[in-house]
Amino acid sequence: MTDGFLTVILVCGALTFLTRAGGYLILCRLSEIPPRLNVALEAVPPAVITTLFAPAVFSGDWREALTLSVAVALSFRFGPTITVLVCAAMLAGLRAFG
Amino acid sequence: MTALHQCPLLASPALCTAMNVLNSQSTTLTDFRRGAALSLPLLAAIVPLSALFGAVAIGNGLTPFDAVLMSMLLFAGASQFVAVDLFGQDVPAWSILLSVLALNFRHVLYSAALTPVFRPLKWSAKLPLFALLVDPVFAITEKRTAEGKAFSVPLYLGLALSLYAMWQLGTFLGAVSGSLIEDPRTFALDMFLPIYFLTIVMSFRTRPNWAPTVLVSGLLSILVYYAPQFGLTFLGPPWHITIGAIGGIVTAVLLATPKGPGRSAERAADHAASPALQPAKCSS
Repeated sequence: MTDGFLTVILVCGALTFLTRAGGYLILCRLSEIPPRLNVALEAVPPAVITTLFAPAVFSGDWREALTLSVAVALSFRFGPTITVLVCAAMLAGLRAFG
Repeated sequence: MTALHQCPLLASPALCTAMNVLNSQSTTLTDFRRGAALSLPLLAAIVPLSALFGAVAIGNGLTPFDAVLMSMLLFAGASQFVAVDLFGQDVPAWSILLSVLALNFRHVLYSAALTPVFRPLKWSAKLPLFALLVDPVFAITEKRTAEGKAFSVPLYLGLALSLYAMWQLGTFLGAVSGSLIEDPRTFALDMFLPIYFLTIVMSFRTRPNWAPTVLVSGLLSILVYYAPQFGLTFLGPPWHITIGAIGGIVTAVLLATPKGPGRSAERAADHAASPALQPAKCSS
């Protein structure tokens, strides 16, 4: 065990749990969900998850940008597993030979 | 269901009860297995990522024990990387805590969005479900709820616990082997998760105002992420998540309001019809 790290991990774990329970603890006290809040909540998954991959478009060079463009095209037709595997194989190929 | 049909044929009421218990247990087991099956497409993304985390943790001077303990207590991808990275840089502990909080703050929105699903459950069931509410679990649960499928605790646990097991296994393998993955770029492992997140966002494309929401949060997150390279050092990760997400959500709200009374009335009718949105009972 690295000195001081246990405290950091424990507090980080507690904070993470609080964020996961927090939204419920706040919302279950409202008698009904206001329409605007409902619109906001429906927008949460696309808005948040987009930020987790968008910067990756510029993380490398044209290879990464091209791979993510192909991923958009493939995801119209195929599920996550095929899209991820095909695109990763393509990028690995581009990096090795391109 | 079959037990009910068979009951009249059984002589003893005790046997009948036993059949029903057996039947409900098998439903539980089936749902748990179906949940676990939903996690399989993620195996190729989760194990390499957690193995990478294990390797990075070792590279930053932590022991394999530290790395696995962290994965067990946090079970949170990006924030574990950030925490380990900052720990290696010997920054004050409060800045590690703040970064983890900023990265995980999106989970507040997840449990808020799933409030109608969690509300009928006992607290003893809610707490473990909250602890396991990570990105893919939220995405899949949200999607199933939107499709009108009934919420199942065993299915949720099957999905979440499989992901948890994969995460621990990957961390352990990565930490112990340490330098096994010498350069993750060779196998494009660094892009597995971005591509996976992209496919999730694409699966939401039928939602109202999806395109403007995604464009605004995408552009904002890119600008904030790379801002330090242009001298704005107070920006950069993890703020691209916070600012990008807020931008996308505000866009969706602004685009929804001009439609005015018709939409509101429709919404109000939806609320009246939905038992999930009846007055809250937090203690149930």
